[in-house]
Amino acid sequence: MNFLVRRLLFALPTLLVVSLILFGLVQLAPGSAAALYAGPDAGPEDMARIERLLGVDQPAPVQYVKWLRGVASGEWGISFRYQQPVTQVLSSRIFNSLQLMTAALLLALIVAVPFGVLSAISKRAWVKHLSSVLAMLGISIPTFWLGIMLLLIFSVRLRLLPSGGNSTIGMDFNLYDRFIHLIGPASVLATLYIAGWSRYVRSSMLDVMTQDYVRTARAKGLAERIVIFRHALRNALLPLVTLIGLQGGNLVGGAMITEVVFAWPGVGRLLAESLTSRDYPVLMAAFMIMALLTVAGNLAADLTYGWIDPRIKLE
Amino acid sequence: MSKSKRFLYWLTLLMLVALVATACGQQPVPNAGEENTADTDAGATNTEAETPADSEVEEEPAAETNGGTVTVGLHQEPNLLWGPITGLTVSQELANILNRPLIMINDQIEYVPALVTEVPTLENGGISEDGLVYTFHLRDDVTWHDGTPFTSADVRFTYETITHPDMPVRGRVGWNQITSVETPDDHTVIFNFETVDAAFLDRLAIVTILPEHVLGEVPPAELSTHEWFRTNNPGLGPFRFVEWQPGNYILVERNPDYFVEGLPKLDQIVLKIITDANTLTNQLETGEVDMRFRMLNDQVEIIEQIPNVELVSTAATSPWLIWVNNENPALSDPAVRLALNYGFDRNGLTQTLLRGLVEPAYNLIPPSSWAYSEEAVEAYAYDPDRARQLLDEAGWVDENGDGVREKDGETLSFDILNIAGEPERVQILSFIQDQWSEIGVQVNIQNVDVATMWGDALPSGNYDMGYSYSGRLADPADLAQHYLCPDKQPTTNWGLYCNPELDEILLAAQATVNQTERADLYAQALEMIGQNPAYVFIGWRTDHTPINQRVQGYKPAPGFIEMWNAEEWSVQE
Repeated sequence: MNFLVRRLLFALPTLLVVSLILFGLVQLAPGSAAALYAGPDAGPEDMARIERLLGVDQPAPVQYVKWLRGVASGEWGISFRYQQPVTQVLSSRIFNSLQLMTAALLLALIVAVPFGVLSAISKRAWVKHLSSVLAMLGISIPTFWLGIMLLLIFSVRLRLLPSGGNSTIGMDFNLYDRFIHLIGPASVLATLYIAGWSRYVRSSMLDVMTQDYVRTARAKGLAERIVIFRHALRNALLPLVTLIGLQGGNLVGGAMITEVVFAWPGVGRLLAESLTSRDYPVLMAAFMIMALLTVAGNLAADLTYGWIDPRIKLE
Repeated sequence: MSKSKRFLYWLTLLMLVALVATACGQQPVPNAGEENTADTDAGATNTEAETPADSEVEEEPAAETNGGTVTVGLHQEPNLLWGPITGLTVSQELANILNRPLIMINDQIEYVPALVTEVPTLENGGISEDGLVYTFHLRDDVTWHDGTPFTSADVRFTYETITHPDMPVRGRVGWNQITSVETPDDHTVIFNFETVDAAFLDRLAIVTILPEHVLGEVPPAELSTHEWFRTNNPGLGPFRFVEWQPGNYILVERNPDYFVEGLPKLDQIVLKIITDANTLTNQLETGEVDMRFRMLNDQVEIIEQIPNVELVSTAATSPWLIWVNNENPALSDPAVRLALNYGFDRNGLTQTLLRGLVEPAYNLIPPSSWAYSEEAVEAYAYDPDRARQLLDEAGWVDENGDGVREKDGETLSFDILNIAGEPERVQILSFIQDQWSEIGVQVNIQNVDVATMWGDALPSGNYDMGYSYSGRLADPADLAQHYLCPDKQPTTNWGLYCNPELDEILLAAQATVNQTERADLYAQALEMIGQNPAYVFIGWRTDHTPINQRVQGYKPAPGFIEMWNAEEWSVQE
């Protein structure tokens, strides 16, 4: 309990510092949001008026304090571009991004673990080589290329998958329809994780397999299958928990390119837009949410670790 | 090496080579938010016919069915659906089908009435002789989507909102010249001006009318965040708002009570938001999208291979140009700017590099405009000898033999800013860079993002040169925006150019509504600018619209909005 309370207390100043850094970066970026909004026809009077209405005419520290006060009372500000409360702009998109990322992470888990285990325990050379090559490919292939290729082959040529979007327009909520739209982007996103995680699982497995208790289990006469799955694997997967926890922040904003290619209505695309139009309120809110999720994910990972492994005492 | 290892080694190498070869092909082409600031006001006012280049959409006498759905692919998500507060053309497209302005501009670049019975002109007395009074007669058969009648009160309310200090309206150029708006009865509106605003009708064309009965009581400070600006419900247009899934799509349906009999023909229009150009092209091929606007040149070849998709290409009234900072010590010399214009091959560039898809441009006024005069325009031929001579005579010589000319401590070496994201732009700039190096001018291409270009570099004069396009040219009075000395009215004179003689002519051309007088004055202005250019114009942007054969009735309106006649569209299977 102490551990939890302490971590939560630490989270607050962490997030505060993050918000300060973010705000600073946003201020440093060249290109005034007011000039972008006002456009080329605006004269000095118009500019002054727009600056006042957007709230950017105040000095930076004043703007920051105002923003902080707003956040404390649940008001994340008004988007410059959409003239809508930021919460509204983000809410539906967050849900879509969460869907995509969760599907990608689940898919990655399902594929990476067996893949990593196989490449660790297999005695055959070709399996080991192939898995290294595939992992390297997975890490090196750029997401947008993979996405476009997937669309080209499965959507345009074979007409098996839709070319983007998250649902067929005009259709009521249909699980199969959503699933079909999800496959493409989720697979593309998962590739990178599969490649990385499978290597992680592999090296973790290799590490565990040389441990004494595994030798003992074998010496006891247990079937190899039980040695691997009941004893070795469980321990090997522990570090993966931390890895997954660190993905917390990415759950919301980590799929920018994939979302653009697949026309997925998520936060990633919104972020790309907001960056080009210097829509500060949206940027601050989105990044703060990602920071919050990262901190939370980390905490959850630590707690899970402590719960799974009785040897670890959380203090 | 063992056999299996060697096999794998070669296999991997082969795959890598294949990857590199294909990866260099497609890139995501983010349609940069450049649409934002460059495209604000509506199109040119000329009355000459504009023949769209390569138009393949024929008016077939086949049976036009009523009903059906058209799916439009938007390359950007709209934000606010009202001309004066949005910087995005896609927002204006949507606003124009859900709502209506008083007048519109058609595909022949002529004014046509929308909510009025006729367009005011000098001949019919709608515009007074001195150009200071505009009288509009509104149609009496128009109702908002909720049944409330449309009246002059709505028009006056719209004007008051535009000029209100608490409304984040973008530029108010021209609107602040209006002294009063009278509404003697429900269907008459009179605008009284203090000084002539020759471009008034153009400005009106993008202002869709606000519903006074819905927004009248809302405090202006809260107006821009009101939901109406995201739905235009109620509106006056041929289509009604149904739903908007953020980031995903917008659905609009037919307005059965539209004031023009028999229109619209379609049942629904779906506007899908797809920001990646390749994905849009894919969806055109699978038929998930029927059409898209503002496609870039590099997709043209791909589209031409798709069987049931036609390509409609029109020369826009928006030129590509290199903004030149006239306050840069070297660039303030007119000889240098003239040499730059003679120093590269526009025809070569547009015919070979751009495969003839673009027409060369020499100044800001498009050939389709009534203010354009072939005699007056200086069509700089590619003449590197002349360029070199100009520079020599002005004292710019290469003393130290490094290939770049100097004079009084200044070198002809500049940074040219380019908005990153489109490979074609870099190709164009490299072409020019190469040819300019032969006359002793060196440019370094610097990639920046949209916000830096439009939000920092250009507005604050923080640059040497910048490559981009200018906003869609409205009435040639907007020529003044780019050329008037910066101390005069608010201008888009990013180049900080100042020529007092030119100012006089431009201001005189704005002070009258007599088109012949104005055309004369603009010819003079063009001649002057030809001798002392401010910028380097490259070519007229070409708007490519790939459109599925099943869609009938689309007519490109280069000076205005692509979907301006959406009520006349129909589908034929």
